[in-house]
Amino acid sequence: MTPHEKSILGIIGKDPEKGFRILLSEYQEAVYWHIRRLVVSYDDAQDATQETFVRVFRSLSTFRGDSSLKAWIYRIATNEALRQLSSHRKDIVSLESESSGAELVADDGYIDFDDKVAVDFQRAILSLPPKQQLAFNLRYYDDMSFEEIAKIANSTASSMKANFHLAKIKIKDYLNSSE
Amino acid sequence: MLIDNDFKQVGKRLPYNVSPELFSDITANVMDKIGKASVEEKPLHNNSRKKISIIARLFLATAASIAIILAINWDLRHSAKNDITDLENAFCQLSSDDQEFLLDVDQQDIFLYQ
Repeated sequence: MTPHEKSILGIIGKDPEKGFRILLSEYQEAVYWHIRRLVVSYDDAQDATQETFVRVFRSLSTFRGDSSLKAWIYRIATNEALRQLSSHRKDIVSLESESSGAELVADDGYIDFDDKVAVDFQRAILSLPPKQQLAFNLRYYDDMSFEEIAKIANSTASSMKANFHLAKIKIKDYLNSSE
Repeated sequence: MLIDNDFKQVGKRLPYNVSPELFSDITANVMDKIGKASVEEKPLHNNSRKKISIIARLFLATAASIAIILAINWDLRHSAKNDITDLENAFCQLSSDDQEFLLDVDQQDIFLYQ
């Protein structure tokens, strides 16, 4: 845990509402975009983000500090994203699933389909199994270390490194085949 | 089209938009839910008291039932013991000829010694 994270927890200990508002402002946007990249849907991402922070608040007393606060929050967020994806399917979506089922849906008013390069790139990422999506997104967009990604995915750094490299290869193959 | 090995062309750009009020909405919704959760948690103290009272009553009722069953069982055993004792006393009061007769009948009883 970083000194900054410890100070946030310290403030929460003295003044829960004030401290939690600081935590929210600190992590809210990053967590939202992390979830959005997995679920795509604007509404689903908002629901999952809100649920994430409610769970964070309720579970703060159980946080043992064996990972960074950020990794702990992201782990809850990832689970909420998977839970949201599962709500649209008959089966449960987990990191071990073959696919997440998330798609760039044409009638979602919050997707810019004019940006073809960005759209194709997201489609390539979404074609990956959830675990590879997670490894790629957290490394590429959030600049996380593989150790931190492993904490979020409840896996090992070497496994997440392998997932990341596999993801890169598959993304390139997808984009080259869709030209 | 993405050139092989060149992710820099797209960088971290996403094709997703959000409304300007999204993050303030999220904050408001989360604080609202947390606030409700905190309020709902307080009466739990009264609810837990009620639960303890119910559990205590159930425990007492169960304990009382077990006590009654044990008491009845003891009484039955005691009665049974008394019955056997009375029978033995009565047998001892018989003459030796009568005692032998009863024992003979007993041994020839096909329903007892099959």
